[in-house]
Amino acid sequence: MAIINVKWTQETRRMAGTAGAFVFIVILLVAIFQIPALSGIAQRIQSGFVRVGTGVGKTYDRLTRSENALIVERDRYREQAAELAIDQAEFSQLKQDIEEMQALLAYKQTAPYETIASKIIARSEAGEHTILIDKGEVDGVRERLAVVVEDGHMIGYVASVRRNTSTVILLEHESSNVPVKIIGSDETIGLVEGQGGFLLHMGFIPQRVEIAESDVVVTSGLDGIFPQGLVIGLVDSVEKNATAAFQEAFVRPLYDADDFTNVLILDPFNREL
Amino acid sequence: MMQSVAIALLFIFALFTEASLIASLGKPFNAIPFLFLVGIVVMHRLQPGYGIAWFILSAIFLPTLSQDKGIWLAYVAVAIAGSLLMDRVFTNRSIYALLGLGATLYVLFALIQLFFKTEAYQLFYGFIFAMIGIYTGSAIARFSERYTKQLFIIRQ
Repeated sequence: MAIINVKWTQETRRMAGTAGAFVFIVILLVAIFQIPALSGIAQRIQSGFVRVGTGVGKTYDRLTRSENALIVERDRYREQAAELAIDQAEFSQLKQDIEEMQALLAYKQTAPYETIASKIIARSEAGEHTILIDKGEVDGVRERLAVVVEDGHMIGYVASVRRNTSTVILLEHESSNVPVKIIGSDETIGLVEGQGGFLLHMGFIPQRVEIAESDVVVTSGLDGIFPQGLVIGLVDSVEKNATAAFQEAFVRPLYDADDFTNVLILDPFNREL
Repeated sequence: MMQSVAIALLFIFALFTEASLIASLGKPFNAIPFLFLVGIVVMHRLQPGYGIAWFILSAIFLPTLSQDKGIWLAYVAVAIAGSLLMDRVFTNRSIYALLGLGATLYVLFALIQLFFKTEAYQLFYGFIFAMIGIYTGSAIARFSERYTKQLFIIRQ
């Protein structure tokens, strides 16, 4: 009843107005902070304000920065870019290492004989077609063991062995020779020899044998050293001469040894049972 | 009624502006005491009651949005001191009274924050921005009074 009897003077109205504003603000802010829908709207407004403020602040900073400060910052970014370039190169190399090893591991698990994983530690000058690997006599490496990459693609064989390293001559080397056959057949039909270039020469192919471009050429295993079935490459072209004793063909290797840093040495004389 | 609603919306706008926009600006602009200077203009041009309510609400809600320690104490002190100064010292409606009120209350505001702030020179920039802001805010209030008498009624 006391409230009804209050005289509403100007001062009373003023105080009521102030109190009303106070209560209204409190209710509104509590609602904004507590009701998810309203607080979501408030947060979007606030994040908009923050974006504007940050943009304005950065623009002002950019306009008022001294030349020395800019030079220092530029030099700092250059250093970071150089470090990132080194990191990027290391990362790329590591990635390649991992991919190569994964492929070799997958092949190693299916190969029915002993294998020795190895890294290429040096390459010869262009045209020499030899590589140096980090496994040698102490690791069980012997001459004429096949060297493969990826999933069993032969790239060469061990030519000389030292205590801890070995030299591998690639299939393209002029002294390289590997007895081969066409995949799917049982007899040896030729000998693949390096010519010092990219293509391999395949000779001693009997005239009666039908051979076509893109046929897959694999090791025949005739010499008892290289396991049979290792992929050498694809037939690139065939030279038929009816008057000659044998046909000739050129084989294109599927992989270039320059693209790899990890290889697998196959030792068929140490068979895993 | 409408005046209360308008002041409520103005408070919320000033609160978000200080906590989000001003705080995101680089130095020295992040020292602008936006909520404080609008509160001073509201206190002087409307009723002291509105100003007291403004500063009390600032003390309650600003710490939830900003990272400033001790800001609530500064606003409570300003609310109390402001009501006394409006009642006994700066009683007329001139621009000089407004600037005097603003300067006096800002000195109190800054002195309390000195105990909590690590970069005290920001308070000096804040004083300059507060004086410029109060003068500008008063001009904006006078301008809007011509067209929105319902919102900003001149106290008699």
